[in-house]
Amino acid sequence: MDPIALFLLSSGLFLGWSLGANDAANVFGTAVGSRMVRFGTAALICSVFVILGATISGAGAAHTLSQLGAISELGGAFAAALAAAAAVMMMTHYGLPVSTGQAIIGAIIGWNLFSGTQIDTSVLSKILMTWVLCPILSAIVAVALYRGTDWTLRRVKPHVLTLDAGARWALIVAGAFGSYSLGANNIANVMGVFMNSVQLPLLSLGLYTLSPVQTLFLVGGVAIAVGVYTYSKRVMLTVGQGLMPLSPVAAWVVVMSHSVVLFLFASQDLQTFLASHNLPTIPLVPVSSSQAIVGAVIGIGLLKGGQSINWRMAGRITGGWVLTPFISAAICLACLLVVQNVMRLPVHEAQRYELSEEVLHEARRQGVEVGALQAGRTFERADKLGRYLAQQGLPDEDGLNTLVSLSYATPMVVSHPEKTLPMLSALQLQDIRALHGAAFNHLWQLRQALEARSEHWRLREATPLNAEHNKYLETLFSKLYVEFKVKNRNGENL
Amino acid sequence: MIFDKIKNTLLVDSQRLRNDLDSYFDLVGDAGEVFACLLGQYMSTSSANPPFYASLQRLNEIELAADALRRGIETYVYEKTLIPDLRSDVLKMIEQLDTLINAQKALAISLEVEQPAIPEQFAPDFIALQQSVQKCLEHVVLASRAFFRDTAAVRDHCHKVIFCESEADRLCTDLKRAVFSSEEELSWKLHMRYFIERIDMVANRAEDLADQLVIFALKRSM
Repeated sequence: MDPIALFLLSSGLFLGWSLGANDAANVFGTAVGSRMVRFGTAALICSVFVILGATISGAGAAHTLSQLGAISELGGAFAAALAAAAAVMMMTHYGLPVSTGQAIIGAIIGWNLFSGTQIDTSVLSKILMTWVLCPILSAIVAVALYRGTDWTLRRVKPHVLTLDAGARWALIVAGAFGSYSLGANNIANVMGVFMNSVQLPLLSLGLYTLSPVQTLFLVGGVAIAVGVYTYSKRVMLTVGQGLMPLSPVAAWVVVMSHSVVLFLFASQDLQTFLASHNLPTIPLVPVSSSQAIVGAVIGIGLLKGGQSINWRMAGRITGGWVLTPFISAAICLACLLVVQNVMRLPVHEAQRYELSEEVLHEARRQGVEVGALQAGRTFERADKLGRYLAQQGLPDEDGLNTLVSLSYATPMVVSHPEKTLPMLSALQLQDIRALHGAAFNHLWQLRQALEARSEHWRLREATPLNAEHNKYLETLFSKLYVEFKVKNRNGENL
Repeated sequence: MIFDKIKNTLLVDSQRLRNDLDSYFDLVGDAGEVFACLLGQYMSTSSANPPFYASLQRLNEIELAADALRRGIETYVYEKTLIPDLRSDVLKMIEQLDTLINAQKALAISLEVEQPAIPEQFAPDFIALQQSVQKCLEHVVLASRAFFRDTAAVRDHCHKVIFCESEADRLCTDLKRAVFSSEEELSWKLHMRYFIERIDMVANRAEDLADQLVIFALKRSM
């Protein structure tokens, strides 16, 4: 990996560090603040489990983030991560509670606006929905868990000292689970933007070999762990006193609810399990651990009558949630301007949208009403094409989005897929060899050519049970597009 | 090794403290029993006698042992950061219980030093007052034990402490009235009043602790 790429990746590591410094406090804050668990113990457990969660289960939520904005140039990823980290630091400096997840989403939207990339509104609405759903779900889980624990303790009547020892164990276990979930869910916030732009090698750990993405997440996990060790102590000691005073058992309920909610939004295995038992599934989206904690505390506070909740603080927190994405998007736009014009680094690929005969034909085939649209026009940005299509009176937003996607043009020639080779089956490789030398102008054309070769390239019906297969194929296609793109002498995309 | 350390911290340490607390409560209860016995022995002859001295010696030993345990508990709780959310309440409770033992020991020494002449007709009233105080002590120890296990029972025991303290107050007033309406000298009457009030003071302190225990129990709820 060259030094410039390493330097650009540093903004992601900075974001990871700030996530470790701030969000680790959500997991172990009450335990350390109330002196139930020593900082050294908390930091060690938190670091180990964050790294494990990020490396083993990090990919689920990361996929959703890359769907919102597949930042393919390292300069863009650098600017987005730096903007998110700066937003987190700025908000923390002014004493406003902050969510790293919201900061990175805001930064990606900033990048989308800057590059003129089409924002996938369905993915964005899925993420926005979870920002509302996460604290509510966390509050519900906390109320149920609190009632259950209270009921059990009333019947068992443990000695205070037994309860104290039990609460310490429970806080450590819940903290470990919370750290794992934090790593699994939030690594996407830290390293998700680099997924399409940084290619790390396979990392062999003896019995187990880490994929390039897992290696990237391992690096991010280590950055989070450094944040935990170097800066989280102060935050941990102050957290938990702001919203409402909590007993150790209530603190355990809060951490456990937070962990359960983060796990629900990150676990691919759980989604498959729910789907296979015909149960409703939960979208895999990176959610804010701060939101989950606040939701759980407010849930318990409401259960107790609501008098002990510091509503002013709750209002400040909600205000911070609303402000963060906007501030982050604004900083990201400024960073992108600097990176592109001062550092002279590409922040996004040159884009071209062609309304060709093939595109219009394919659009009609997919049932899009294209009316009297004329073929032959090209556009440099998705938003310009969108405005043009809107002026032409295209009926619905779905049709408009489909046409924009179909008209994205990037010359590709099928060659030997060196980088993507580990992801391919023998039959898939055979299909690619059969197409060797074939040229395509649109992504969907390559896709259709491969789908026509064999069923190994075809998406299955969009059910949660097929989600993993479809996600694998989508990732594979996106890797192949990058690999087959025709490049100029300098190795830049045409 | 690290797991052994965690196990020690989380289980062995708390078990030791639990044993110490139980021993301490036993001593508070024993002190009440011994003092009741000691007062009865004094009444039987209206002066200090060998069984009285034996009880006084026993009370001294209890007080010393309770002091040593109290200091050990206080140090241990902070050293091992046990029950961080409750330790100030628990230590206050221990301190207050200690004042009950101290008050009884001080009263026993006063009896031995001052040798008050308690006429036979007042002896049953003194015994009744002491029995009421003794009940207060028993219930406040039960309430203290319940604080650690069953917060709902704390309220019940504290209610009984308050009831017994009222009874002790009534007996104390009746006894003082009887003493002051007698034909004895004023100096003797004042001397008697001093002892009657010192016995009743133990019940008052038990009531103060009971009031605090109710609040501690409320704070202890989840």
